[in-house]
Amino acid sequence: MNKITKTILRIWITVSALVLFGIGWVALAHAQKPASLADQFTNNTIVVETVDLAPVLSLEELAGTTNRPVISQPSVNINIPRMRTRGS
Amino acid sequence: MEYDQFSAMNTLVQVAAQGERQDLAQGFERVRQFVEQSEERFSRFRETSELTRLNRSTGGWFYASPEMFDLVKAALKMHNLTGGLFDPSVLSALRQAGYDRSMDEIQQKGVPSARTDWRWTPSHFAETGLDPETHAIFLPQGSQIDLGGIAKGWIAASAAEQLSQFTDACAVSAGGDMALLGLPTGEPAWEISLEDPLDPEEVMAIMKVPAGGLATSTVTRRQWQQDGQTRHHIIDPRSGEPANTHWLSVTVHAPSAVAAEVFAKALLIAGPAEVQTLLSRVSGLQYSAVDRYGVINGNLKVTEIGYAPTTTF
Repeated sequence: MNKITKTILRIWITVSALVLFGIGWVALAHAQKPASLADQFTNNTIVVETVDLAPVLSLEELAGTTNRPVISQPSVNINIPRMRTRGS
Repeated sequence: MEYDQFSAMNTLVQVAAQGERQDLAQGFERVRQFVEQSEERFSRFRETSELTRLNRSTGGWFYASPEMFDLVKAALKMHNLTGGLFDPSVLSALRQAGYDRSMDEIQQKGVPSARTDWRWTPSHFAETGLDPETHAIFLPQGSQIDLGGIAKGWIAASAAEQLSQFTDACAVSAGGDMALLGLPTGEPAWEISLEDPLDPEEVMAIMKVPAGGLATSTVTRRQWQQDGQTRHHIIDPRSGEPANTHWLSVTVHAPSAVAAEVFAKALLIAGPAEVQTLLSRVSGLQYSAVDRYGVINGNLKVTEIGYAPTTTF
């Protein structure tokens, strides 16, 4: 590759880079701009759902001095009847 | 509820009665005496029993006690109701299968080999004659009978009837043939444990049943070996051989202990194919059957208790 060819190639690469940079600049300049985070907070009402929490029980209440409902667990005991089928 | 239990008729007799122990003591004693007298009367293993004498009289009239007459009459009625599936005249087939001695003796000494010259002949039990006036019984020639199962049901019912003089609610079980009179106070039903036929120590389910009779027939409890084969005491009268059953045990609730015992045996022999036919013969029959995989079938409501039974037989 001679010296002239190298010079032409360098010029072509430089010009191409500049042209593509210019096209990209113009495209971005005309694109739709995203809303900024600050705009979201100023233009919309944000609803936060809250959960009603039961009041924390006092130590006296935990000791069983109140009439709190008691959740009973199903019994797992099975009474086996004494009379049996046996079989003959 | 107060309980009493004792061994008789090669099985366990259980008694339950509501009331105070001291008030029931006389009733429990009366039950014991009645069962002992009944065993003497109905056992085919005792040379002096009334049944042994009746069996010696085939082909002629035998003047029986009111109790024997009552039981043979009930057996004849049940024979007809079950279409012949219940047949006490299978005694020769039982002997051929090796059950010619008590279970205690079989367990100790084993059984003889089957006779090669024996042939099963169709039953003639339906031709049995009864004379209500004299309590005479005519068994056809060669038609000897075994009253083992139905006698237990009859004994349980009769004993419960006697015990009812001392209590409002009682149950008598003769080897699983059970008579239930009245109901325990405040209870809508009797609660009975259903045994695993493969492991009598284990309970598979709990049954809630009204007053009446409850009985279980099984092919697993009275078993023995003969000529290298497993034999049992439930004889199919159609073949004269130990029944080849679909189920291992059948429990029946019926209006009476006698009907429960007979239909438990008939259903066990007949299997699922003939259930509806048999149930239609007597009103108020309910059954629960256990197959060899431990599955409980039937229209008798049970509460399974989650026990996983043995699945080999």
